[in-house]
Amino acid sequence: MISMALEYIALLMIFAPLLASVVVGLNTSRISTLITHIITCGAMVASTLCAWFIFKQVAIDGHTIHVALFRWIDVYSLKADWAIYIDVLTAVMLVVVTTVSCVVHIYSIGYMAHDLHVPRFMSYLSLFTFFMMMLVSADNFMQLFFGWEGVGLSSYLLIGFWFNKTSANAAAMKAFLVNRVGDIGLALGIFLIFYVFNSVEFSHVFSKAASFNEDTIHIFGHDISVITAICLLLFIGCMGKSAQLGLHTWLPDAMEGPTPVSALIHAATMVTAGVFMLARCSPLFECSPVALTVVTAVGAITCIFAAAIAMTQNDIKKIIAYSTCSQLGYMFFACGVSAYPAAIFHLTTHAFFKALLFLSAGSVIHAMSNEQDINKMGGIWRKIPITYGMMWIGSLALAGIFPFAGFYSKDAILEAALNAGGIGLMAYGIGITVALFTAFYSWRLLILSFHGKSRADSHISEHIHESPIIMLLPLFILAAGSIAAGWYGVKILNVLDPEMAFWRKSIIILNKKALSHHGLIAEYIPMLLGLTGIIAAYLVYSIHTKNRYPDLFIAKFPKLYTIVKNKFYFDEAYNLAFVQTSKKLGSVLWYYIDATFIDSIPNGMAALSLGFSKMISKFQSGYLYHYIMVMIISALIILITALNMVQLAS
Amino acid sequence: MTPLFGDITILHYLILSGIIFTIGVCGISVHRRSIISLLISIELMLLAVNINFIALSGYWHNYDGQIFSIFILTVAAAETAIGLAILICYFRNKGDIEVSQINHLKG
Amino acid sequence: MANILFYFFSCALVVASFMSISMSHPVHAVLSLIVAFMSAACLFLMIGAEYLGASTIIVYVGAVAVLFLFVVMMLNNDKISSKKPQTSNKLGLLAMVAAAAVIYYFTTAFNNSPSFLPTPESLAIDKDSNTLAIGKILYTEYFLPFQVSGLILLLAMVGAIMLTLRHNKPTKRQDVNKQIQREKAVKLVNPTTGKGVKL
Repeated sequence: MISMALEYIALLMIFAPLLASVVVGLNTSRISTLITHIITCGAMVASTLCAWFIFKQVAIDGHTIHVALFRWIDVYSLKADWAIYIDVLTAVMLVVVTTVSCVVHIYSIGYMAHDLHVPRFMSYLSLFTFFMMMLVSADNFMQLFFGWEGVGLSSYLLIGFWFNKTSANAAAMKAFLVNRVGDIGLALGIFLIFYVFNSVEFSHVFSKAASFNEDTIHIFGHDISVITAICLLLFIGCMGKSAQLGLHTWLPDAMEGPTPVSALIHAATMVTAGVFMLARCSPLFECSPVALTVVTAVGAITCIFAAAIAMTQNDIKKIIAYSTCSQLGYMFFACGVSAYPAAIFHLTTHAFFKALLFLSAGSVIHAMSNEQDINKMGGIWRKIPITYGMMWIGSLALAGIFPFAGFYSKDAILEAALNAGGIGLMAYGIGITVALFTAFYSWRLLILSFHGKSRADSHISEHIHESPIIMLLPLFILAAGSIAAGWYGVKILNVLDPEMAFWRKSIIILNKKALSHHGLIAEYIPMLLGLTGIIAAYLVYSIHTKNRYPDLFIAKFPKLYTIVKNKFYFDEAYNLAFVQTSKKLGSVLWYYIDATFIDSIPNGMAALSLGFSKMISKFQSGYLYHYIMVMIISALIILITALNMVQLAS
Repeated sequence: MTPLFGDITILHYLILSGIIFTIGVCGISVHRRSIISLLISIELMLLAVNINFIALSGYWHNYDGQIFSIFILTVAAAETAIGLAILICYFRNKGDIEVSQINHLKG
Repeated sequence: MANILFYFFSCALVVASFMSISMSHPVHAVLSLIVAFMSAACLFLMIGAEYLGASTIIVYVGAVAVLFLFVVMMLNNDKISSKKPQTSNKLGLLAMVAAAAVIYYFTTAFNNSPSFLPTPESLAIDKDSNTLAIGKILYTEYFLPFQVSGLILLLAMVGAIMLTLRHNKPTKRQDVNKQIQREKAVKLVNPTTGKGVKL
């Protein structure tokens, strides 16, 4: 009975946003904004309530929902269903996704109030939510891939929402294409899974994972363990989706989209799909230490790389974007040291405070009449106190200060890294450093945006106003999450218990000591470093001496500063290596092969027939005697032939 | 060649007819100056056919050849009349009956 | 005797026809054509088809050739005869060679035939004259083609007239009756002496 009701609730939860998206999306030109808001936000609120209810049922009471809707692919041994599979991991993700999505929908009511295309925006937001939920509730790799591609599509549509801006279009395409590169890895991973396991269903693959430990596959002349190969390919997909080093170039540019989009997709949900997939495939990854090492390394390097760049950026949204990239690095190296619960927990808390930061930044941008450069802000904390307070809460949570959410989750990750040893220790060192950097750039953002003398021009300064309540209410909800989620998760739900009672087999860890605690000192080191960072930021940015400290630093290390500010020239390198090469190749292929060679075939045939017919038409001279000559000669030939035949016959 | 020098046989008439016909054809094909020569050559060809028919009619003791020859006569007269009428119209329009200028159907 | 006549007439025929195609002046050409027709008629007489010989002279020479002459006279002679004939045409030469080949072919094809000579006696069936014999066949067996040939001649006459009749009025003629019957052309006026008439 309970399970039946649960299945219907799950169906409602997943398909309500889709329905809202379709209904609004097909009528974008006809529908009024009020009706749009009612339909989409209503659907999202319903979805959120269902998700919370299911969370209680699944995670706390221990039910599992597995309902196959209908069969999608059924070809020999390749079977995939459209199914809803909700275990504890999925339930946690669903809560995150629906809550943040609901909050963003409500925020968008206020933020996009002056936009001309509100129905389209809300439709895309709901569509994205649907795809994300399909992704997390999949029970086979095909549906996961469907959700994966769907969120990529929604990301493209939403980043390029203001399609009249060329930069937005370019950014949307960049996001989609870089994602696609990752998707190649993911697709190859799925192909390899099917090749090895002969099935793409999670239950089948994960139960048989251990038995393939010894098998190797021969690729490019080397023998690689097949599980390692699968894990590495899947990780490439994660790198693309979660903007890890190498495939990270799209995330800063994705800030071209509206701020609610950045909050929803590029902070809380889409970029965390990679982490989710790692946690979901934990049975596979646990069998391959090599893959875990790679994951740790990449995650750690991304972490410090993004944090370093964040310290030099001037756009408020870009700072927060690089911060996201850096925190994702945390989550990845947490997975790499087998602490999947810590990673998912950090994912949850990060969703709350990062979305809070983004939406507050949106509030600031709204107040500053769409100014995004922090060098042009300043001295506005008295004018927008609520936003200022929200920003403080988000930054405190980000820096990992007790008792905010980030404290618990960041601490869990760092302790797990310490537990792992080897590359985990390197990751620990990097993580500690990044905690310092994180606090530093977060307070740099706060101080430069809100404190000091106003650097905005007078026209903007006159119009600074607090956001309407419709935009502040989501901030309050997220702030509550940022404050309470950490404590709630660790103390009430026991998310980080080494016995993993909470997770109930949705995540498999072979090395049981990954989550064990170290004691008080290790617990508080990240917080201490965070406080150090805060003080350092105050010292550097608040004290006004004759030469400002940042300028001194820049003067002393000009080359280092330029490299870091220019994002280590990744974009330029990719441009040279891939974009220009493709363009050259394309133009060569077009000009020489297509336009000259292949087109010459039909053109040549046309010219040939034209020339031939011109030649033949010279027979038509117009002169009667020519025609008669031809007739007579033909008659003579026929006559001679006939006579010959008669002669031969007789 | 002995059959050619002796009594006059059907062969002589046929050869004669062929020669006249060929001369008519050459009259058309060899580039003359005026259309009148074309029409004259056509008349020659018809004459050759007439000779052929009548000679063979005598060879086979059959009057069919001569009857047909009468019809050829009729038709030749009719066709000449109309041909010349067309020539006059053409002359009125063009002012000249130079054969080398009649190439309006040039492709 | 018959041989000499045959050769004489046939030579005349060939020479005349050759001249008719090679003469530059069209009147000369037509006159050569007339000579050719006459020779052909004589040949017909030799075979015994005297009706057709006479027909040839009456119709061809008397009607067709005269028509040619009329037309040649009507067209502008100066333009026609002022230009040189262009006789260099390779196709024509090729045609002549081909025709010679065919004729030679014919000579060899009828090798076993010359057992019969077309003479006037051979055609004397029932001792009828040629005209009577033709008449017996023409109006009985070939009646329909005969009528059709009449229609063809009608067609030719109508066609020739239709093509060449011009309806413009190049010449102005006086029609006295019409002139007098004009209403306002004539007016009776009583002129006063010494003052004249105002028109």
